[in-house]
Amino acid sequence: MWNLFKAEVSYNKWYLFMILAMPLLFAFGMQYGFKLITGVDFFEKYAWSILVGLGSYMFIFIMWQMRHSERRNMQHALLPIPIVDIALARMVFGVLPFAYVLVVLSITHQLLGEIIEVQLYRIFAQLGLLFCGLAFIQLMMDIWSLKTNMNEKNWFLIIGSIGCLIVFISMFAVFEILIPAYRQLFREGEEWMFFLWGLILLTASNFVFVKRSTFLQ
Amino acid sequence: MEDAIQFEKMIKEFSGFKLGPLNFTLEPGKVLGYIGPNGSGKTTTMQCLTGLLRPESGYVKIFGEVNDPNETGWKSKIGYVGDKHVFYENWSCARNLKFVSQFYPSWSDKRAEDLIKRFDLDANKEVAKLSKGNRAKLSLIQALAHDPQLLILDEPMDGLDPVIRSEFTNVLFEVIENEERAIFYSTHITSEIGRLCDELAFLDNGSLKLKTEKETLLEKWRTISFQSTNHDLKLPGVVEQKVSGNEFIIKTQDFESTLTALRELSISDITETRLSIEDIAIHILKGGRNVESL
Repeated sequence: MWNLFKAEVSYNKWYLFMILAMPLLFAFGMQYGFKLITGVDFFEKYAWSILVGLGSYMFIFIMWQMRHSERRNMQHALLPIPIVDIALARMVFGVLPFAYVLVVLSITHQLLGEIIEVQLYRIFAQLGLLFCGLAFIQLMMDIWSLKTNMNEKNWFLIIGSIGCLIVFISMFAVFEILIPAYRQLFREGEEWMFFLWGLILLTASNFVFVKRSTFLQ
Repeated sequence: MEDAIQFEKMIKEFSGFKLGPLNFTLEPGKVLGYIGPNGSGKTTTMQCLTGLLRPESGYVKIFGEVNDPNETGWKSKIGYVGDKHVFYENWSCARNLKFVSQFYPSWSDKRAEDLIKRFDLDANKEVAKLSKGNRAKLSLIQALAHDPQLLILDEPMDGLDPVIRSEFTNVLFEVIENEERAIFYSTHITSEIGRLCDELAFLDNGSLKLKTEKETLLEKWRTISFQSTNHDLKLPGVVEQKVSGNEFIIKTQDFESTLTALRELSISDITETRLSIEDIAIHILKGGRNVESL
């Protein structure tokens, strides 16, 4: 698993470097009060985090597109490693840039204090939501992979998978309802619930990946 | 010794296409040519064999082990060259080989270097900049450098020039010198496998028409020329017949019985020649008359 992960990091090092560098660059610019136009702060209090976020997602998107177009799953499935390791490496690699951006945001927040007004105390909730998003994308890709392999049985699988997604989404709705009660018990602790749900969904997406009937993409 | 490959009632279905049920084996020390037209199911068979596709029913065993994609033992015994060559595109050939090498305990850098030289490949070139033929070469080197017990080749010569084709065939002959190894070779170009194969299997529209020893096939399938005034001959094994005056040219799939029948009819001046594998394949895959099935 780690060999696959290391290869992915090494292969995408420039994209990852850009994701790494961006928050630091922006934070540095803020610290020294760079001006884009005379009298206008380049790094407005909220604009910078939006820019960092969009920039990071752009690079993450490029990396995932490349992974898909180069049929990375197929390449790895042919190697003498268990499919579950491929699923885990894919998950860790997917989570890494997101987690990194949030951790860097958190650190810069700590260092620069009140200059950056971002709701970073909810970092686990944000991570959890990002994990959920990633798991959702992975699940959709796994379901889509059945398209090349479709017969009646697979149709049922697709319908079943969509059903599972609906159940998950419904559970989120229940989750939202539960938050006030949870808050009463643990105060501002719902971010942990999001984080936990993110991990559960990622595990589910790994399970679906291992059970895939095709590794041609 | 366990069979190198064992297909047991394996079925793979897509919408509008069904492969199988496939039931056949490949023994170690043998080269099996898997022949069929485009769209006959050759690549699907290969993908089921390598675990890239899961069959709907039945199973495939490789050296006695079911090819579960989650198990690693059988995967380390195979080398695969598929119809699509997948690499880290922005890495060099050498970097790609180094990546793959870490997963195979039996990988030999020396063998990889030797093959790079023999196939005349620039190892420092980025994969994305390689031609189709050079991508096939890299794929072959990757498949051969860990000294696999079973080599699975899906149209491996596609895009290779004649010199490299010849070198590649020589390498395959070296592979098969060890009688514990086997090669499963899929192609629609029969001239590629004439020299190499011990056995031939013919696939058409998802079903296996025939699997037999190459020598048996070449012995049985013949072109026979003779003269006869009787234009209403009923000869066993004949799949094609041309008559010009009293001159008959027939193609038979059962030379012995056709010859016996001709002798019983007191026909002399018989000349016979062997058919090429390509001719035989065309007849079998066209569903030629009376072609025996498995």
